[in-house]
Amino acid sequence: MDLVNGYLPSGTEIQYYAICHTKLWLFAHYIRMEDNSDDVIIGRIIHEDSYKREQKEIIIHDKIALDFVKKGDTLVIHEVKKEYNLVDVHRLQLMYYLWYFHHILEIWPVEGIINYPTHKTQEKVMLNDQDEMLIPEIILKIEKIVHQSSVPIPKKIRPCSKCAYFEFCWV
Amino acid sequence: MRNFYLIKNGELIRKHDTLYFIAKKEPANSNEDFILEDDTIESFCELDDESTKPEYEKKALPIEQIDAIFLYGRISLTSGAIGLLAKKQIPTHIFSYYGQYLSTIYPKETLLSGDLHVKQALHYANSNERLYLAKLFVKGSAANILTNIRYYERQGREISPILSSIKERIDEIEHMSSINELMALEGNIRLLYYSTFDAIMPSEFSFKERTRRPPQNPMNAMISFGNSLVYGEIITALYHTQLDPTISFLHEPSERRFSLALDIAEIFKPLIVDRSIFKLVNKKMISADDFNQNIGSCLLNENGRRLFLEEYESRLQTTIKHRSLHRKVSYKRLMYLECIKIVKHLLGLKKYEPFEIWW
Ligand code: SF4
Repeated sequence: MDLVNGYLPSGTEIQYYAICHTKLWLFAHYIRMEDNSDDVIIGRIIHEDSYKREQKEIIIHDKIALDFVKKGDTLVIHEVKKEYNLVDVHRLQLMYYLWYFHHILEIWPVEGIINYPTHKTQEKVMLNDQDEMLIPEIILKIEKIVHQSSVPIPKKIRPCSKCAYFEFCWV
Repeated sequence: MRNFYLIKNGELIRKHDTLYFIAKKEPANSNEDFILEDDTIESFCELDDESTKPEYEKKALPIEQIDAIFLYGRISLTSGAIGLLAKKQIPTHIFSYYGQYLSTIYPKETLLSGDLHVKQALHYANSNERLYLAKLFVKGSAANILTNIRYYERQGREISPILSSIKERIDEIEHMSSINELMALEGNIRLLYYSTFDAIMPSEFSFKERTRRPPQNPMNAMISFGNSLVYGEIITALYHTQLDPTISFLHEPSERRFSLALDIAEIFKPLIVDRSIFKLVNKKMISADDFNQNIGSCLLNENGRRLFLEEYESRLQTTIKHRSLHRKVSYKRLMYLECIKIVKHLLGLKKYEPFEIWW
């Protein structure tokens, strides 16, 4: 697709873009911290246990891993998340997936649902025309950040305290 | 996470996802983390079926809590055990009977960053960048040495002249224009430092001079033993980063396989090794009976190693409130953080400042 020069971020990179550009750059450059934080483990357990029955997991182009079901003509993709505090970030990630299905895989109609099993709630995500424009812009911005030669300087923000890079950024 | 020290002869085997250590039974009250059998005779350690030999026992190691394993006994490892250690990403450091570092079974590297690797190599190849980092390693080490002996000066020991000489040498670090000069200066500072030991320590632990292979007296024996432990510890820390442990700045990369660990270990020896020794000796926790003295060599014996390792490990687990993280971190973690600071330096994110004891 001309719009995005063929560069397509992973779902994780979209999330990190929305949270912190330092994190995005480090992750993209394989400066990874060993994740032994309980959060990550709990997240994985929730993911494995909660939606076993209905869904299948698919991994697309090595970038996107998600669960999906088919409802009539519409494909419904599900994301499972632990905490409620990053709703905007989760929504953006799912919007990207919807966009990906529409423009890259050319599958439509698609609907998105974010599931918060610990809160027993769901959040529906749609893609309006404005979002359709927004996503390619974000992709370009991510590409720019990832390709810049120096790390974006860390800024202290709320997510820092739970971030795997906490020690890295603040030592 | 902690280290496991096996100082007894035996065998490490795997059954499913559990690692077992098979060795001769211990008396009931012994500390299970430190098991040593004093045996210099070279022979293979083969235990075919432990169940048929009542004097042997099989112990499961708590593999999820192990950061690294240090092998001091003569220990056979099955390929299954090595596979499990790799799977759980546990580096295993092997030492000779004399306590000298021999080798590490390094699990497959999983955290590679091509970008960082290139930057590390470029910092080595650029003589200014290399010297810049090398000086900081010497500075950090010297600062911690100074903190150690200042403490004893305040206690009234006669070491003021040596202290001033060390301070003068520290001021010279900045002016060194080659790695060789810098290394010589570093050796000089260390000699001055060691020359205070006889004023700090009781006379039965008289130090005289640094002797390595083999150590000639108890003080040298403890220094050698402790220094190789710290070396192993830094190798473990490096394993958890994307740094290449073979590209160093102060030491020549050809000097040892994990030469970057030599660089970083310098900074921590005064805090971890020397202070362990001062405590063991000055509190009379260790005595001449804890060493095997032979003509031309002196080594910690079974009991001595246990004592040393217990003191050393409890020091690693000691915590301190970190000045910039505002979190409690252990001395062990400080070593890992030191590696992270080097990563940040190489990435151009923050100039490296060596760890200096701040409390
Ligand atoms: S610790 Fe904070 S600044 Fe650093 S990567 Fe995480 S969120 Fe970003």
